[in-house]
Amino acid sequence: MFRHSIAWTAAVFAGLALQAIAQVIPSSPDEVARPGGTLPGNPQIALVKIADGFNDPVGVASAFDGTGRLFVVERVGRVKIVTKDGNVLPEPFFDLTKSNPLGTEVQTVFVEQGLWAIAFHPKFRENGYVFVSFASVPFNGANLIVRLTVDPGSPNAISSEQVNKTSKVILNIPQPYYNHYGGKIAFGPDGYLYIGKGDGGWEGDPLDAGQNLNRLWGKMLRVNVDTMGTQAYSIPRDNPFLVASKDQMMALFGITEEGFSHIKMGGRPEIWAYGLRNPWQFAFDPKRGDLWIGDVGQNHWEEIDWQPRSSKGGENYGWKHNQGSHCHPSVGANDKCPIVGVLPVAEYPHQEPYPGAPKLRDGWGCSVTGLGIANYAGMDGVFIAGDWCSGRVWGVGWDKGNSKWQMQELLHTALQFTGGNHDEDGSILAVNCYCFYLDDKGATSNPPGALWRVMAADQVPAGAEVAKTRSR
Amino acid sequence: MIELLDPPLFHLQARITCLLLVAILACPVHIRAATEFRNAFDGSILNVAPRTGEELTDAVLAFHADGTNPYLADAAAILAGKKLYQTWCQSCHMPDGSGRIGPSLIGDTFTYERVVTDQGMFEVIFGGAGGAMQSFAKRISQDDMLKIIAYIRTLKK
Repeated sequence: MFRHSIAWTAAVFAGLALQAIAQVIPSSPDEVARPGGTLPGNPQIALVKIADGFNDPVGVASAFDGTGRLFVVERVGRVKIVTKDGNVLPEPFFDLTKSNPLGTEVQTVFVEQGLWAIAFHPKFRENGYVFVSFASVPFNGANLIVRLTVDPGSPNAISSEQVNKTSKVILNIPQPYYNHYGGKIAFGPDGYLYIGKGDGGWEGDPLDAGQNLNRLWGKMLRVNVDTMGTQAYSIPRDNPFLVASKDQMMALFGITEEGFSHIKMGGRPEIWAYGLRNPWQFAFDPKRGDLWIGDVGQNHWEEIDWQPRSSKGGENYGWKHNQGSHCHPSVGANDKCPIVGVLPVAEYPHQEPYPGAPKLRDGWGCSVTGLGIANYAGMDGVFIAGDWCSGRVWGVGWDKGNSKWQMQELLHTALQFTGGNHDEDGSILAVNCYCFYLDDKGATSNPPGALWRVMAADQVPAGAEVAKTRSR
Repeated sequence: MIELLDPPLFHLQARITCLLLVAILACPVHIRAATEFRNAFDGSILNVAPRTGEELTDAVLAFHADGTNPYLADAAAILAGKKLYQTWCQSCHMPDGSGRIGPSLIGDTFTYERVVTDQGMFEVIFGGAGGAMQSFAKRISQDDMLKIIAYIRTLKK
């Protein structure tokens, strides 16, 4: 018996040791994955069209209610329902362009503005709660996050009356510039609502928002929406900055410098992680609960951040001191600067990785759109990201055999990726638009976009439409 | 749908035939020009028929015939191309063509190898390529595309 206990104990320690060399956050830039790697098993995927005809689709979500419905977010302010068999219902799930008699609720003047995301409460089947995030006209472009409630008698349509009757504003975050809002909202496996907030805009983070804990911009936020009555939200007790700014009597003695460093006077308790530029899309691994963030970069590098489910929050992803594992501002090939905070697990360059660099022909992009995490098609915990500019699709995953992160280009498509999420079966969904900074004729006048599913290449159903890929 | 094939002068014949037919039917045209244009992304054949209401200019017809851009040394066309470039292209490719959101248009290394020729650059503008480089076929005329290309070639370093 005693011998068995020793063996069991040894096995536990061996397991812990193995776990220790399992997925780890890079400790130096050379451990950050870049294009050119190969994922375990060299997965082969295809993008299969589910439905099309959407006006500037920028988000998609499942209600996880067993109906198989998918909800496609149209930037103008509508959400369309795609039924399990791929039909798009003619009437929108809701229409925020018609709920206000004075005009639309949704600001869409600039292409980064609009309705961005829909998220269903984990207990949606019981409470009918739907959360939306958008740029608001009445609030002068501010980011509103609002809870709506579905009428059980009308599961496929929230009427304008119902919108007005049930709207509960969760957050109203002013926006200083017209870009870098972030956009995605999603519930984590802990039941809290996570909100990706951009740095408020312009370029170069002129407000130092990423590093300023007194601002909600440039952060990943985490709030509890299960509150009573009119309270909009509460702060989860384990949020990293819950008491960081606690007012107290000045006490100079008996506090170490390290202790002083933890005081974040005025820090916002909603903050889960900071140092982000524009976390436009993020997702939770449906199998493990890990959080993956696609942080849109500036001139030279796109960043992919990972935190295990065991994270206690408080990660600083470095913006605006770093872009990925590189210096910001980048001035040349041999920049030297401190790495601030936590490194990403992967990054990919723009065509010019630093000012004056030789132009890359392959393996580059300019705006990361996180789609989801694949635990199928030969992949286990692989984050899939599409690039808005180049149409490339990358996979990022841990290579156990080599104890390193790998980043592999899985597809080069013609699609302009705007958003992604998971279906009820864990498969990854993606939407693409034809919306652009130029010639933006309005959120309903660009060529229509589509909804896609990431599938194993050898599992594509006969007759299915597959996204075209580049031939060489 | 009428498909007109490759040899020279067929383009002119196509236009004449089309004009004759236009009184009878709407004459939808699928033009396969003397020069074969291919999508830079997947190599599929591009139909370079004019968009609704677009009159193909002599420059475009000549370009369809042999792939040579008649505007390359035309100062007025280059100036017009500059204005068009500033409107449609420079926010991604930068005023000097060095690229940012979109790839560099200068130098000798191109994301799509065929862009080294005017025909190849036209193929990308007309047919689109990957991601944000969408087809401009429904946005601007082919004549304007040739003017833009002529201007871009003046940026070449």
